[in-house]
Amino acid sequence: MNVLEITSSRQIVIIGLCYVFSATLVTWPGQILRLARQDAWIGVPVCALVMLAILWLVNRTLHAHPGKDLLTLFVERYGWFGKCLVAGYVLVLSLDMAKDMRLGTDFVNVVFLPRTPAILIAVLIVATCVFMVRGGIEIVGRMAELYIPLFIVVALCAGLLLIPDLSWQYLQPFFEKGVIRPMIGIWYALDPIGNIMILPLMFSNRHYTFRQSCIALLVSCGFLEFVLIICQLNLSSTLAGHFMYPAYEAVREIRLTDFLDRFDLPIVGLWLPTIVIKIGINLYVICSALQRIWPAADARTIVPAVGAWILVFGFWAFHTSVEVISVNDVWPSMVILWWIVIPVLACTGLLLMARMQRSRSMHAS
Amino acid sequence: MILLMTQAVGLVTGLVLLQWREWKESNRVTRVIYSVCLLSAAGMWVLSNTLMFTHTTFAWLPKFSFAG
Repeated sequence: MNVLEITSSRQIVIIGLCYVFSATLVTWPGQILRLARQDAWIGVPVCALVMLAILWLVNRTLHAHPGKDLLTLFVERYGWFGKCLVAGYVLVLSLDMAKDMRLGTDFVNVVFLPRTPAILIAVLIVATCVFMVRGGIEIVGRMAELYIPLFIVVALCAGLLLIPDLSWQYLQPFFEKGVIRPMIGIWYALDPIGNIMILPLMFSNRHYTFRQSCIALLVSCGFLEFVLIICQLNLSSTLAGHFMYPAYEAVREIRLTDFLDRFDLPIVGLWLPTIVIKIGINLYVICSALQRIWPAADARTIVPAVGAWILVFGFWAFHTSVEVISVNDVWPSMVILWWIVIPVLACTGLLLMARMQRSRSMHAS
Repeated sequence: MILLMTQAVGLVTGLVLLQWREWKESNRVTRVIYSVCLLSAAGMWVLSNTLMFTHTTFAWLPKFSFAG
């Protein structure tokens, strides 16, 4: 599955964008608005700054160890402990993939195909991901390149069409309950924005630069903030907090002539491939991580088996997507551990190792 | 139970048949990972649908009590 040579710089940015916002748009605006209310918007820029600092540290580490991604570095430099860390990432990403698969399946089940068994929809989603991932990261990148820009443009147009219906007073009063609500906003915003750390797990510094991660992070955060503000100003935080799919409900407000009475359908039609791509990215990283643990394993062959395992695991762990929301409430703790604390500690260790190695070689010469 | 086991067997044999050529050419490590994933998926499918108490609603997870 090592076809990184044909992944372009633009594809890497778009993969990062897709991984941050695609699955987030389903239930996240409702969850953050339910508790953080009018101060929810503060969470996104604060988390973006935190992640920017961590990406800078990770980028310095990748430059100190050229040609290697973070997973490879963990295994090579930390030995069996590194393999345990990578196994931990496999478990976290499996749970994340199961969550996304359940959210996507239930959304299609509720909105489009209420009489079709959920397992059938899930099988179709996972089968698409399996075929995508077996084609390599190039196929994932190309699919992301095709759908993500189109979806962003259409979603931005949908937001602009809603401007006449926005009520700006829903943003006020600022800091009504002090710093509690902004802190809750930061907690929930960590969930999607921490996901940007997937990029250094997938790519080495030969393909991936700090500039790309900055662009991916800033554009995705801007888009998340845009969706959040539109939901808040259109529906109010009180109402949006009670909806399962607030962004979808906001889009349903749009009526463009009789012909485009269901404007939500083309938007959801463009959004669905993005969540499939995100699930595909997860599957790709899981199989690559398994290959890092057992280098003799052929990642391409095990993709269908891993996909089948996560499909069944997703249905066992989450009977409905309501349970995914319960998990999402505490998921930022996993983000703090796996996307912030472990990468920061591991990268600091790797930087120190590189510095010691450099000083030793200087003394030797 | 019989239906669930038939579905599980169908899942395993279906995937192995689809990838039969790859399976024959693959090495031991790949076969072990492949078998563990598929057999655990089949087992989980049968058990999770028969023993419903193994399922969690995640109601035990902590929740924000802030109601402001």
